[in-house]
Amino acid sequence: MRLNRRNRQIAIYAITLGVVYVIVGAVEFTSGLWNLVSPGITVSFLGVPIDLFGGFATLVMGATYFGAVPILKGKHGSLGFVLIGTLLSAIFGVLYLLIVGADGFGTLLASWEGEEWTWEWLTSGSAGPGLLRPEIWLFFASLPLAYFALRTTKKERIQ
Amino acid sequence: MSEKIKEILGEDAEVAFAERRYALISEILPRILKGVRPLTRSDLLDKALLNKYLGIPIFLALWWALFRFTFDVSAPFSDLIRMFLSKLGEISRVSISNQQLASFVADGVFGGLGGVLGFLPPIFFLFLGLAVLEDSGYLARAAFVVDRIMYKLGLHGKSFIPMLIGFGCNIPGVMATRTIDKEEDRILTILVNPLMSCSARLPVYVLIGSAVLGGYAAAGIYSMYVLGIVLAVLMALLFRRVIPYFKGKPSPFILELPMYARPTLRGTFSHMWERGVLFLKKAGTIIFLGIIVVWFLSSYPWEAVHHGDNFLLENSYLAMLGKGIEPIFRPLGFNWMGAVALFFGFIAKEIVVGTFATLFGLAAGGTGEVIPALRVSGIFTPLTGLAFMAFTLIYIPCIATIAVIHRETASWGWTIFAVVYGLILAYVVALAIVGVGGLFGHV
Repeated sequence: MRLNRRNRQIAIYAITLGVVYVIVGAVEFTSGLWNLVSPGITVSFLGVPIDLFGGFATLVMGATYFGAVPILKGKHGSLGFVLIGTLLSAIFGVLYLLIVGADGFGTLLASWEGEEWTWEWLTSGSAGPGLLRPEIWLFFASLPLAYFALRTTKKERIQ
Repeated sequence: MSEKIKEILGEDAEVAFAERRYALISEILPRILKGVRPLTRSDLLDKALLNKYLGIPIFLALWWALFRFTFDVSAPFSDLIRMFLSKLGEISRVSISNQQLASFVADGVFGGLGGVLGFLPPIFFLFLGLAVLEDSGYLARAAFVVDRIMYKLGLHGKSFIPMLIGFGCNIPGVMATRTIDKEEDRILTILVNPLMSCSARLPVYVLIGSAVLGGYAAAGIYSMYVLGIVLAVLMALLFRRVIPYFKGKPSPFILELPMYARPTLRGTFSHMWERGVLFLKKAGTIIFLGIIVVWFLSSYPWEAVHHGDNFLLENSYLAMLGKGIEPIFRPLGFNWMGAVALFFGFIAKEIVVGTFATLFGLAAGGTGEVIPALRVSGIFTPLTGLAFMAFTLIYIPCIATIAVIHRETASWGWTIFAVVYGLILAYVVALAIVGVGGLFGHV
């Protein structure tokens, strides 16, 4: 019973995250596609980066979280989708943080070469809007889910 | 023996044995274990990673993460190496009095070879990412997931592993086809393996992508890897349909999935080092020799090329060679420099980068950074740059791979076929990129 209630909460949280990921991914993907077929016309919605492949990856993360829907019907085997969803969130969240860090390192190297030091790399660079990249914040939002999903799958015997 | 079993059982021996083995296991297990077997975490992960609909998208998403890691995170480390070698070049130019020797050390060694070594970080980062995927047990799952499509398109499931190895280097990739029993499947896998984008092509993509694709550089590089896989599958399908030797269905693929494991720091880094060090060895031998040849051809005849303070590259042997082959590449938008870089890329792909680094270093009169120099030169537009990347991807990777293809197929016919179809396909795809991109208004 306790397992059912906790898994239900995990599923609802995962589906909610999935909805946000799908929205962000769809915006990134469609704006990326639009910019590809209509060069010169840059379209960006609400500061979400224009990123065709990144958007695709974010859509995949959202779709993976949606795999948690059967948990609501008592099919606990679908916790695997939550685990993979949080793993993908972590991979991309850390990846974008690393990219922002690499941009900062690049700026430091440029400053050694005589260029002026700026903090611009924190908000714009290879990861698009830098630290404002939605996937970074969604990664932090997925951490509690990862904790509970891992704890559940470690302690309980899923059948 | 295998054929005899196949005749008796009416199915592939490997499949028959596997089916009987698992039938026996399923028969014994219920007698010993009571109740329903609880799902392990490994089972749970497989439910998502091997999912019919999500398996391949997850694979593509992870691949994209790997390339962003390879390209974007490694970038400042590459800059650091280039800065260091550029300084060494400047010092040697000032401190060596003999003009020809100074040019050789500064432009040939530090400019040319340094231009290639600057791409060491992305190669090591790529191998680091691959080692994590491999050690975690995911790559075997990827093979399983991709097999569904590959089988339908006429490639053997076992082809995936050689193709995956081909991402590192095509030579072990071609050699790994020995695990494929059926000769037709093996030859087919060998023929399409060079389309897997090996690590030697990565410096070319990074160079051209960084120079002309701007914010789309990572996407451009990722596209090359996806293009390689798509072309490999399409060519396999085409060869199976058109060439009578390959007619028929590939033999089935049986794979026992390993347990998931947490990659260890030591294991991952040792795997990365083992593969990455091969690039370093290659840089010290064949690439170095290739770059010396490029430096010589671009610096001589000395008197004609060096007029006081002026450097007249147009008078070099290299320019003569490049202009001779330029008409072939003109429809693709490549000038003689691009043509000559591709020509020397036949020896090893890294020499494409070394050629540009030597040419721009010489022309600038200093060991300048090759990426900004290439950008400023304007010899590539984003579209022709992408076409150049695609050409580099598709035409035969290097002389060593040709030699291995010959050894593994034991046939000059298949070897020549691999080279010729690669060249034709490269030309057609590059032309299509320029043509279709032009239709959408890209330049």
